[in-house]
Amino acid sequence: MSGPRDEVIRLTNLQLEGTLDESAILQLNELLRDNEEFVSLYVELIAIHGHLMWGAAAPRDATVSAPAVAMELTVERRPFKARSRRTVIVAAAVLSLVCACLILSRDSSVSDAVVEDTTDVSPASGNAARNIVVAELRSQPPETHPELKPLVLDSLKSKHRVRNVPPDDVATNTAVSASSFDFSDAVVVAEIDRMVSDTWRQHNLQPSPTASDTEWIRRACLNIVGRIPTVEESTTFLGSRSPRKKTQFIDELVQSTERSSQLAVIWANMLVGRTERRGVNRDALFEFLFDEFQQNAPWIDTVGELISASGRNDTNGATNFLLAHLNNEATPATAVTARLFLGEQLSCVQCHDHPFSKDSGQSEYWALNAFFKDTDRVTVPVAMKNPLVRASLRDAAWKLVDRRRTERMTFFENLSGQQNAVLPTYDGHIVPEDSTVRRREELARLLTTDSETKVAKAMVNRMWAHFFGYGFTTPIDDMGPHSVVSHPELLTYLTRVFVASGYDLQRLMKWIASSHAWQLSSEVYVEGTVDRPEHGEIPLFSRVYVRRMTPEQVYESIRVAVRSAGQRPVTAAEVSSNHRRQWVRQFARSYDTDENDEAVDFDGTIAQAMVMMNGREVDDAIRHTSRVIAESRDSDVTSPPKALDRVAMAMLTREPTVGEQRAFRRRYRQLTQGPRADGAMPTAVGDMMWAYLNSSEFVLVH
Amino acid sequence: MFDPADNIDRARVSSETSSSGVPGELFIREFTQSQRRLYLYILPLVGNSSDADEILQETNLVIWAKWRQFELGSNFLAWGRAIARLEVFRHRRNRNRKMTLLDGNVLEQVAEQSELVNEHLDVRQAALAKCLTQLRVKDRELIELRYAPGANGDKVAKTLGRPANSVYQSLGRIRRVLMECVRMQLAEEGRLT
Repeated sequence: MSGPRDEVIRLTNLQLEGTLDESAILQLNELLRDNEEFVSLYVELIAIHGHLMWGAAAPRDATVSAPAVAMELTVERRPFKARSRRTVIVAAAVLSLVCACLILSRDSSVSDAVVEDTTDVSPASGNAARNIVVAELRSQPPETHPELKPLVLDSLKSKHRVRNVPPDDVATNTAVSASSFDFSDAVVVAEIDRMVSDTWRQHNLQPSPTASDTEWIRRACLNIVGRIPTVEESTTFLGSRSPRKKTQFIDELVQSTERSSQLAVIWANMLVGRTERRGVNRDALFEFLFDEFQQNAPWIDTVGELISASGRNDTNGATNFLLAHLNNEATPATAVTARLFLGEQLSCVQCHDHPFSKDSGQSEYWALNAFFKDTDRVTVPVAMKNPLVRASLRDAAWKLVDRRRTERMTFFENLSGQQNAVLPTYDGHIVPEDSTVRRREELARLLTTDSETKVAKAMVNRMWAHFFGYGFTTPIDDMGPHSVVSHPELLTYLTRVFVASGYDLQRLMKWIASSHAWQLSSEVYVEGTVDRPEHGEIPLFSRVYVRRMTPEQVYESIRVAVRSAGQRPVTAAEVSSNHRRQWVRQFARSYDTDENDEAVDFDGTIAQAMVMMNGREVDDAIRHTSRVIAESRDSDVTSPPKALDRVAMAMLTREPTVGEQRAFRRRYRQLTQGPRADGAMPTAVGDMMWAYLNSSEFVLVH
Repeated sequence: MFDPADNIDRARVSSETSSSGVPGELFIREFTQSQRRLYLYILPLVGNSSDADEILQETNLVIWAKWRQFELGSNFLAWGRAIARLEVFRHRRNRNRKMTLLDGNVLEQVAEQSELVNEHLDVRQAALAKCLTQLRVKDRELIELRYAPGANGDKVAKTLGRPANSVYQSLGRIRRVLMECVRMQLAEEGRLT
């Protein structure tokens, strides 16, 4: 999909919600000028809005015409004096009636009121009459009705699939907390702290000291919104003396659209991979996920939608997950569903029982696979804009459908060559052979009533690992009965409160980010510490483990660093998501395995540095920014040490070290003695930015 | 050049209606049936419903003032659109200090396109009704909320307890889906020129 086309649609949509500012208006005009395709996009999108404003379902014009005619007869009986007045009155009467019919709530006596108002109007004061009528009418278009229909709202609420969604903060309601178990944010965080510190005590372990504010804010931003903080965010946070500043900051981040966008990127990558796949519409999937996360939809609902979605992959983004994995008798769909949503690695038991775990067997795998038996994909013929141009397959839309197979059993062969047959089974529930339910929908339903709440458990483990670098199990998506759990009590507790909260991802993130352990520094302060998960030991979370950024985090961070150093606004992520995807794809390779695996060659050092070095966009952005810093009228920025301060804050969220200051001074002096002395400042600043960006400190999450 | 007074000369002058003091049944039927179409014609030219409403009312007043000039059997909608177009220009002139959405050239292009779209309105409406049924339940509910009488994006956001920004984004996405869907339907039916 082309960039400017998206932009036309985005700006038009903004205009429809009345949030288009002046510069955006200019931009929209630029895009529309002499571009027939864009003009028709604009007009058609607005037409959708117009139809909906007017009421799309019922053809109101037809219902209006009959009473209007009846009205005409009554109007005719009135004695009129002047012709001009008459037209005004007729107009007023019929118009009021039109409005009355449109809103279906207006008393017909309105027309009389208007008639009274305009009796003395002479032709010369036609404008006054017009104003009266218009004022009268203007108060009536459908938009100005006082309140939303309560009925609609109730129906919306009743459709939430998770029951027993509790009030936001149970602790504030003592009546409730007395009778049910208390999982207010404060209580949950205290429980996490208690359980984590218990294990420290058991292992006689000294946790790392609390992280500095600079270390903390950088980590918080990277974990929650997927990028480093801007200079402004850092200085505001570091300057604040509020004892609640961390809580407030977490709250803001967790509710931001950037957080939804980062989660959508992460999950889109996990669900369909980073490489392009035929028949997968990544944009639509991203939009679906973004919406879900932004609405803070219960996670179990999102999972249900992904599993049970059907329809076109461009209009229903959720379909793209299964569309990507239906090859090879839906074995990838089975394995990926189990791994991502249930935290179980089942791809080995496809062929044989699990070597260590008696519970997860081959038949369990095929019983899960059987839920996808009727699921199929078909291509949708592309609407031809120009019949002479054959649409390429890449543009084709795909459709996820269910076609009832005549054979209801799923057959598989075990290692000794015996044939077995299973029906779809989950958590002890078997879908009978003659059942007419849509099997995938049944699976989505069974997940919500799962006795082990595996979907919640898997998500808790994944989210914990997202924040700490390690989960309660290693790997995080292999939580079968054979796996070693570092903190079984904590995992069970968090799973329980996550379910009780209505699978609330915002709260889960807040709990983990507010825990004492997550406030600790990533550095190992105590010699001979036993907490070394990187050596295969059980993680004890006595510090936050250092990780490499993901390619997406690097991309976004470079963008934020360069832009905020130059005091430019950080542009909206949607503008750059296409470019970011291309950039990231340089690192990704896909394999045709049973899980549709792919590898990401991203070591945070050589390959990445090469790409960054060759990145012209980065080069241009840095040149621009260094010039902005050097030429700024603000003397706070232009003095060499201040410029370095700003660059260090933008790139690494800290002050420059003494060594860095020395290096910078040396470079600056060297340049001022060279042939292009007047350009010394921007060049020195640019060099420092390059050095910082390519440091290992930049690409690590501390 | 865009003075509404010009319209008197440009409009068709009827010879037979002057005998009756009020417009006949056919005229009123044409008038009522044109309302939605005229609104949809005006909307892209101004880009927001409150201006479109206002201009529609002004247009209606002109239509009623000049009803004698309309020749029954000729294209009422084309006549109405011509009047509406002039009203749009008058409206722009009256508020020249405030920024208008489209500049002159672009407005011409948009008006042309809006007229084309206006001609296929019934087909489009039917296609949209069909597309609405194909939305995800959640999306349809959001659209119902947003387009309930008196609603707007902000109110919906407040009701749902979601940030306004995110509601706008969802609405934008759904409108886009609907637009592409309508396009697809029309293309499949071979109605798109």
